[in-house]
Amino acid sequence: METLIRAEKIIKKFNHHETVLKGVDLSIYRNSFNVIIGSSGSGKTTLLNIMAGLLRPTSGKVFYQDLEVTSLNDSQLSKFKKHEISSVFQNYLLLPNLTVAENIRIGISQSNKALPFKDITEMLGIDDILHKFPSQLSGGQQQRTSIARAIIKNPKILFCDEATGALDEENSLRVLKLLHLIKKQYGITIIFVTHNLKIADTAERIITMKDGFIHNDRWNENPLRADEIRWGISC
Amino acid sequence: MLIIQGRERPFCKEVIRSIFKNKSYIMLIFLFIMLTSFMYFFVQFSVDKNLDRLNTISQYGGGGALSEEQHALLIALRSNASLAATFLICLLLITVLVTSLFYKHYFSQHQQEIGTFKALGFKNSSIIKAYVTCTCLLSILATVVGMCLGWAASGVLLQDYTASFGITDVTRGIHAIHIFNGVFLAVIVLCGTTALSCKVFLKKEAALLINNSDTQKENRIIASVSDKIASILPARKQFPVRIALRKPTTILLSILAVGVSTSLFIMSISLYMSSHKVYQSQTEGHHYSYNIKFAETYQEKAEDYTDADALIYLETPASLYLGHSDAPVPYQFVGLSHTGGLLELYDKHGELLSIPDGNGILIGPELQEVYGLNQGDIIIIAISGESYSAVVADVAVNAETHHIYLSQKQLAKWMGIAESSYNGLYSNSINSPGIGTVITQEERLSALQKDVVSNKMSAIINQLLGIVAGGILIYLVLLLNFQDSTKEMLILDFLGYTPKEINKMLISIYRPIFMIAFLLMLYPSIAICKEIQRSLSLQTGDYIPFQTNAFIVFGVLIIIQIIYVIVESAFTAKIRTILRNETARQYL
Repeated sequence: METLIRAEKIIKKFNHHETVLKGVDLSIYRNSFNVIIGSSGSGKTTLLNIMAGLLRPTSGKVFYQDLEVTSLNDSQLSKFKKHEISSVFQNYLLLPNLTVAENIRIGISQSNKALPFKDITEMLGIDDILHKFPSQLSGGQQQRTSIARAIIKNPKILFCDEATGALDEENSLRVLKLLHLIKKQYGITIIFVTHNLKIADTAERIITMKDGFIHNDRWNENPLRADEIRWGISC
Repeated sequence: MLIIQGRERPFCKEVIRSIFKNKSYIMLIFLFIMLTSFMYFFVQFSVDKNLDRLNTISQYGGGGALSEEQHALLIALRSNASLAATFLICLLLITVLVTSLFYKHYFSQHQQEIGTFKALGFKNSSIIKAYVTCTCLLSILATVVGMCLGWAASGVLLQDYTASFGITDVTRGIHAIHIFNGVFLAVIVLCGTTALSCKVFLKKEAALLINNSDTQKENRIIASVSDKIASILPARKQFPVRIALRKPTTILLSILAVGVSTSLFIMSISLYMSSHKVYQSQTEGHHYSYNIKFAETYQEKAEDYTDADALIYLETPASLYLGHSDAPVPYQFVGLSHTGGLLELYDKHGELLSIPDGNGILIGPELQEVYGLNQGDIIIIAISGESYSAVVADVAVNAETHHIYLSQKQLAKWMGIAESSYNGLYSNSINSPGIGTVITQEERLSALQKDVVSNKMSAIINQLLGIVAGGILIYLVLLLNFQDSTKEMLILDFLGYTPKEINKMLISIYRPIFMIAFLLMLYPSIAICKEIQRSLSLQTGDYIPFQTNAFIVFGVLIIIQIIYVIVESAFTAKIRTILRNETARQYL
């Protein structure tokens, strides 16, 4: 399996005291669906942000293929974020003064071959709300718009930070199905951070974090399909 | 004073802490209120007691009880008091705007916090009370500091009165009503503004506040208008223009701020230049060394003077009925046989004016600017109890203030005396000393100079404060505009846009917007300033000509651009710091 992104001995301290990551090594393989789970404060979001170039580690390195992400300057890092990867957040982060269509278009990177706009919006079920503004959308619609914006540029990796955290079960399920579909259809590698074990059951690989370390890293032999999840049992 | 008890006490503490965390805004608002108060008290402390004393002397001592210096000081004091009141109102209105802008911004950033208060069962009135307490504390502190500084600085103005008018017994003091105006009026108005801002915001239901829901209605019209405007621009400009135009409130506020600041700048500079203009206009064309006023009227030409070195005139006080009020306006009518030589009167093009025939009169620019009189207008005048009509023949730009020139024959006719009568002469020599009152050119220039100095000094700090206030307002509005874009900037950073691209998309657009706002508001600002100065002239009877030119306008534009560059640099530096310190997620 080809390694797409690799974290080596990542340590992250905040305010010079609090050590959130205590030396993490992790390789993510191309076209895989990975879930990082862990309790609050385990360091999963910090690890995701460092791999996505949104945080710089205190020490350690991140390599995207042969490119050392952690040594990039601000402008190179912007380029990396713009062309190679995308992120989806729990709070959607849509631009409030742009319509849905414009929010999606702003995600297009000129150097990448963008995915067909119509296909994406139809797949995500937002083709009928393209003229609306974020304030006029439900949480599910906003998150699907945010996913459309993230994948329209055809990134190699999609980082999802609690992407279903603010959604109800129905919408969470819908988003999860879409992410699996996106991975399958466009070959986009997905790294999904969550504390929801049920979501983890659908992943090919489950990485468990605890106290700033990778506590467990296993391949899921029989991942559930998203529609097989029984939300009511536990989370 | 607001009394806060029980569980409202910690709640109120929380609100105060939350408000005062906005250090830069609070500092700017504090500065604004303090400047407003300082400007008012600085003048008022130097005016009240002296004005009382001079008014008393004038009232009980009869018309001639005041010396010339005291009379001049009285006019200066009245003028200063009017100016202080005008500036107080203007700056207070601007402070209201600034305060409401701040609260609008604050509430939109703290929706969840306020929603939580509502959810915890705090009544709207309790929430309003807490915010009003904040404003109350801030404004009382700022106005009192302003008052103390004003008290200290008023000494400068008192010294200036002594130096300019030679009156040594000037004293510092203030009326209780003016303390109320300077302190409590500001506090009351600002607390009212806060309460109103809260009330508008608190109409939103708790759940909507907690969920940070934006209840904005379909803004398709705005979107389509902004798209249409953007579509006529080059492709690279379209996106930022579209985003900016979709925030109509921001655009309107920008236009308003630019308009208010431009008015403040222009008025401040105009006030500064006006006294110089009056001095300059009344020295041009006046080529005589002595103005001799006789106690009685003569018919025969004074033998001691030749035509070359003397110009006789007939002068009398008259009243003008200008239709603005029932009260007549006192003026001096000066009858001349001709102009040129010792006294040359010019029109606005610099052409020499001759004395009109019949009932034609030459007026000064103050009648044109303040009362709107123009060539061909007919006015009613009263001389020695009789009414006559006169026609404005032209405007003499260098006419003496409160003087009207006409034919000597016509004036003699109206006065009912012989046509060749005169009671004064302009001359370069005094050949018959002792026959009348002699005002030398030096004395005349010195009196004009005193007016210039007093006008300059009386208003100089107000004028400076006007410029400072205008600058702060622009700074604040730009900062608010930029801050409203903080979240958008950070999102674009996450999406991989470079700081340069983000600046182009969200920030740089305000430079042309401010430029267009300036062009849009230039004419209204000039009109407003003209009107304010006209009202001041009417109130005080002291002619304050409006002064501006292309250099001033260009200067104002440069000041606005400089402030823009300062705020932009400060803001982009702040965003860089947020990104470098990895605190961006806190803002999202």
